Amino acid sequence: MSLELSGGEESGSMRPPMEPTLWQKSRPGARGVFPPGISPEALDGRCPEQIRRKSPLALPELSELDVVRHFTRLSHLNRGVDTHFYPLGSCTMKYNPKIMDRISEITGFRDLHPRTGPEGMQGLLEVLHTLEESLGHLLGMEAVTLAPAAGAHGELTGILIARRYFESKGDRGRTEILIPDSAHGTNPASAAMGGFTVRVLPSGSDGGVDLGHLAETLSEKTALVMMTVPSTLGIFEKDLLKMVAMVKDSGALLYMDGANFNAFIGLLRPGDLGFDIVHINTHKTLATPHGGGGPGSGPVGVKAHLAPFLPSPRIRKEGERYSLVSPETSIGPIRSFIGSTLVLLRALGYLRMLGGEGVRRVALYALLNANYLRARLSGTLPRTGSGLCAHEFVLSAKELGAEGLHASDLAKEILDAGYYAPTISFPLIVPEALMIEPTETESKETLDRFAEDFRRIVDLARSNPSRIKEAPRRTPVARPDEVAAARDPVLTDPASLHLS
Amino acid sequence: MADFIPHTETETREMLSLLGLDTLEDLLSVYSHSMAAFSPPDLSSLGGGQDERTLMEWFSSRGDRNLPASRVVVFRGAGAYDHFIPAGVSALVGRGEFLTSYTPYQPEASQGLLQAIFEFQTAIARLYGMDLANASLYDGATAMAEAVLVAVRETERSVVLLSEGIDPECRSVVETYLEGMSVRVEIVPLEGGTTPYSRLAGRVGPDVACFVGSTPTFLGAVDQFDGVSDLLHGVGALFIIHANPHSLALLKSPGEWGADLASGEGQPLGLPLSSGGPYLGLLSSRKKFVRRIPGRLAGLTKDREGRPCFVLTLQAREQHIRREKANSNICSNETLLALQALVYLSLLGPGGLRRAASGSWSNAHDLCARLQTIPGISLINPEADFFHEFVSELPVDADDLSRHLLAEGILGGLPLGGLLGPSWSRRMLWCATELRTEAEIARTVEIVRLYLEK
Amino acid sequence: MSSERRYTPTHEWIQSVGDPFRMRVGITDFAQKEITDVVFVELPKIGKKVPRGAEAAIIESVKAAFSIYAPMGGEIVGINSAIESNPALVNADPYGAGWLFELKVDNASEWSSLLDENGYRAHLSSGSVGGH
Repeated sequence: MSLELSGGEESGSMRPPMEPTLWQKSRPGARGVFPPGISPEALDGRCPEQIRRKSPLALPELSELDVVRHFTRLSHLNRGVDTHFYPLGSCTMKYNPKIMDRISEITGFRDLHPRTGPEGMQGLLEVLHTLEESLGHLLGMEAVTLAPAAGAHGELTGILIARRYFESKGDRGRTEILIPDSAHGTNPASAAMGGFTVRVLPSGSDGGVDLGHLAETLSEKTALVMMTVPSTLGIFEKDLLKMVAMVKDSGALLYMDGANFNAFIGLLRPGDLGFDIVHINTHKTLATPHGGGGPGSGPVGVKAHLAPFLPSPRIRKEGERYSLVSPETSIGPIRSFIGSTLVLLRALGYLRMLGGEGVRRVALYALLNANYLRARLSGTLPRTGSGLCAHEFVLSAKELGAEGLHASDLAKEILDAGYYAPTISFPLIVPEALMIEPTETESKETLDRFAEDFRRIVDLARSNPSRIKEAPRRTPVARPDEVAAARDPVLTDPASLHLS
Repeated sequence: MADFIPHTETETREMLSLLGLDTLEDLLSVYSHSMAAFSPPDLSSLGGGQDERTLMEWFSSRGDRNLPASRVVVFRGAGAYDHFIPAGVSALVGRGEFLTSYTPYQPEASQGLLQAIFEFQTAIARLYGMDLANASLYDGATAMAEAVLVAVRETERSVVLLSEGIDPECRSVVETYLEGMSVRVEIVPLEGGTTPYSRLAGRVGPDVACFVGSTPTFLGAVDQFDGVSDLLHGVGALFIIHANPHSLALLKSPGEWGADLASGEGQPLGLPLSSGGPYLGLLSSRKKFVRRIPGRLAGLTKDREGRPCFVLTLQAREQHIRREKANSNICSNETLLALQALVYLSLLGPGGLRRAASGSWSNAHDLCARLQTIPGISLINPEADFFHEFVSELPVDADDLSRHLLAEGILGGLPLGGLLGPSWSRRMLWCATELRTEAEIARTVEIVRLYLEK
Repeated sequence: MSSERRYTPTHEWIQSVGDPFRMRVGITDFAQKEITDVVFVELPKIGKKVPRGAEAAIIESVKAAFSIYAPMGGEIVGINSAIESNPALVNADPYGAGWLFELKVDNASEWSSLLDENGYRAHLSSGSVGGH
């Protein structure tokens, strides 16, 4: 069915039927999988009354096939990289190789108890140590921890390391962290969790950090300067090396948010650029699946002077034998056990499969795809920045405000055209931002098609804005009432309250 | 080898030509001002790339150097539990529409995941006896830390009381999280394996933000909290319970004990042992804390056409909007594992979960009783009830016994000396889940008996 | 002081509720339109001391959070609990039923530096709005 034939009052009829919730489908007495165990009645007399649960368990009762159909239908109501082009800027939604699924299912890792002890974990520790070394080479860092569960967790880790570092030097006056206004929200949030005061660095007219302002804000109170490289505008700061030198002179440490590392993996190393601490997101750069929001993993690399403070446990290699140690100087554990190992296996698998030259090609093609799409979209909406971009670029839909439209409206029409949407309303410094990151794994054909659709959508926004306001028409639901959802939140299924 | 780059050489040339460039290397002008200063990185350590078969062989051979549950019989828990997982779990969770999607920021194209998150929140809230739950946190330890931070913000107080029954590594994680805050952590000792009300009553006061109890405790005891809720609320402090979700099929829920918030490790709900991660942080609470809870929340609403639908809601609490004033820095969470736990709970249903939990109870008590028939072995804290873990006092060094058992293909109880200090070096924390068979239990007890008779 | 309403450049209003030291605070009609649909208001605790210009409340829309600053320094002596259950009042009646909190002001002289009706109008038309 073409767009022209749909719409108006009939638009609702195009939508597939909704899937009832598990509790709506629940049938008292229905049985699913029969697990090993014993009947609870057989415990009677052994499990004392005063510790027994009296309230209903209130879980749904379904057959195995009911459950299989339920989740299969839910999957049909969801878009992933496997089904759609996903140009979600800053998230690096590249293809997640299927072979890595297999690797994460190898029983020697999947079914390994984390407290087995080193004698039963030599293979795991070797793999993780290898990944630490590979990441160290790529990042130009002397030590790496694989513990953080996500990028933001890596940020908190890095910030606590900086805290300990200055404490170890007896310098307790460094209470501030400087963060550009274009940064991810996690940066200031992590700084606050680490007990620091955030000072915001405003962007200059070109979207980069303003050197003059940096000089004014840096002081003997500055502990850390957090920079995203390339910036969230997809721009590699031309004055980066000057900034690094200024920060070093002030005695502060430099942190690189490596969320955008896909732009220069294998080309440049954060350690060489002068950064003391860097985190990367394996679910971005190293192709581990985003899983609908997680699990991710956020390894952190540091220079030698910060290595003693890395979170425990650390993997130690002596000869051919590996063990786990918890140094006194460590900030302590930041999560249970060693790390999100099944995610880390995928990350190492990806690096080994690509090899050094393959990794370099990833960055070059990420640049090519972003710049090609940027060029194909020129003349649609104005871009923030000029010249070549890095791995992503940001357009502004501000001028469509005259038609009463926002970037979020365009996003809905993009969904209808058969894509996921770009990131909208970020970075905050660009009004009505649309942040587009194609990644290296998309073909020219996909980019050409997206460019044509995007151009058509922007034309439609100018000629017939009310059509855009009605989008999306082809998705399972129309626009949700987010105001009602937030004013009177319904966060659990009311149907679950009637079960016993 | 592969790099998953789909371009043909012709396409690459066409794309470069649109940009007015001759070669891919010309794109490096983006970095020219920095690249000039450094020599290109040496990537030789990454090797020349591998094909699928070579890659699988490399990882498989490393996997073979581990001792997973498929090669050893697991009688060890201590925060990670070997439970039955139905085949349907990985089949459904591995679907690409879920696996390769991201945070459902565009609700119209993400209804499947949003509904699953909403259902997960429902299942966890009901299991813990709470009004609501979030969409997940990293793991049980960080969930406890985040619950403590909710209490610190809510009460604006600076003392946090943690039960001695909390997993010592969890406690360390909480301490790491609080490193930058002006908050003092105090430990409330156990007596006979459980929390003594009098001890707690003697310590609470107007400076206390919260008390965190754990049930079962790290050493396996089912803790009891009669009167604790009133005691804490009487001084304006919050009550947090960290509970194993599997145990809640049988045991009193945090809601029934009167807790304000509950945290937990979701691994026992259908997640493999996974060498320790990724796991699943559970956080649930009473309704009054809805705006203080960190992490994502899916809510039910209606679309413009009046159809029920789901959306991420209360986002103004979160880092991408509130920045340094956010409830937490969490962005990526463990959504796929939340889906995994939900599929597990739906496949088992209430009957299946009670059956598995009853099996764990029964096997652990069977193992305990049989071990105690061996001269020299006794149960510590015999007056405390336990669920599927307990601690034995041994006449020998626990590490030595553990090594002996491992050589026999048994991952025995956890030797506690390393974690809790030398005075615990002859104590072992045993676990038996519903997966252990009578024969495995009998064989293990026999091996221990023979070892001690030597 | 009388019953006149005065304003801040950050779009709060303040007005006496009879007692010359007891002042009611809300946001302006311009501000409620900028915020769009208010979904939640985080009100201060009664008894809290807030210096002039300090954050006293937070208003949330679906996609943003806005700090509300105390137009004058003082102690929080009242909050509008009606908007906790019905935040839409802030949009529907920002100068009436949608008020936020009441202050017992410390220093009456701060009043004179606030914008009057004409001053606030001029501020709005100057284009240098923002501030929230």
